[in-house]
Amino acid sequence: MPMIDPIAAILKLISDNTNVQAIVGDRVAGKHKFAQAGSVNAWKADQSCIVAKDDPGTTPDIDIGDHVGRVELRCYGATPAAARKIYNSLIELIRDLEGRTTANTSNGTALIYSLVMDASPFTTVDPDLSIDMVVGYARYRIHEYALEEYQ
Amino acid sequence: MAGTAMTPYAQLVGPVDVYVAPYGTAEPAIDAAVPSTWYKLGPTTGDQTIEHSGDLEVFRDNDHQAPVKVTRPEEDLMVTFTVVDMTYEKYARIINNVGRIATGTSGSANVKRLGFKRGATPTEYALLLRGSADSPYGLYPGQNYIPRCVQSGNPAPARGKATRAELECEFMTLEDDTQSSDDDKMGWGTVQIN
Repeated sequence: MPMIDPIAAILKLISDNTNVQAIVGDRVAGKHKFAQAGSVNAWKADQSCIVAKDDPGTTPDIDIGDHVGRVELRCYGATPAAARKIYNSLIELIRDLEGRTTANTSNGTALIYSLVMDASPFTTVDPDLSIDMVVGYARYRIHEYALEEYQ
Repeated sequence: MAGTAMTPYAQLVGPVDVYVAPYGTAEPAIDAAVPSTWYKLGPTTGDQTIEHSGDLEVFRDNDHQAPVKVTRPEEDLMVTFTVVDMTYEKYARIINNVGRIATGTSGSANVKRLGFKRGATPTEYALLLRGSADSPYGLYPGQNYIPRCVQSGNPAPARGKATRAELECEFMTLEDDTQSSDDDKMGWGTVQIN
């Protein structure tokens, strides 16, 4: 079984959360889907959406074999307030994590040891899309291989 | 696959819930909710530690270069954490016991009053640290139970323009001779395995 993709695990953790779903539906991805005219999955500029992607700079775990890193969480909204509402739902999700948890990815079940916010949020407008967004950063530790490997 | 025999579950990450109860309170079953006899002493902030300490006495003789015998004449087990909830129900338990709180009036206002003198005899507690995913054998609960301890730390809640008052706790384990096994007299850990 291939190695767990930590961003995929975080995306799944976010997209499975009912409070987040109530705001963004299924619009949670590793790359935005705005400005994709003709695509049935395209996001509209006034829709609330989340994009999670790698943020560099974290020292990797070279001993044990965990994915250790930092993720950028872009919360897009029609207004700054709408974007903030999404961000707050992510804060709630992370607060509610009671220790280790799992997320089912296409590469198997990921064991998420920790996911914690790592910086204060940043309210801005996406320079390429001209859409309001609140950007948050989180640190994570996720096991490199699926739990199925150990059964 | 990872080049190690260690399972992913063997690494424990994340804080646990801290409870106190009167000395003599039994350890709760790990698959049951913590009974109301236990009082949650939290939320906490920062790291929670269980420190096993006890220096070794080393014996040498004239026939050898290295030690030939060691013993551990003294031993301690300390549990430390920091409570951020400043309600008197928690403050009182940390400096002595909840019986130190009195309700009354000040002027026309209703008040709670907490006497600060800790007194000569610390209150003895049982301590429970429970994590819903704190077992190194799977995503199961784990808990640490200390049957007899006292709060031995000296909390210094500070106020400042950007400072949060916090209560630093340090629970010192006492031997509990009511435990049948000598191994258990300073507490034990229990983790679910399936």
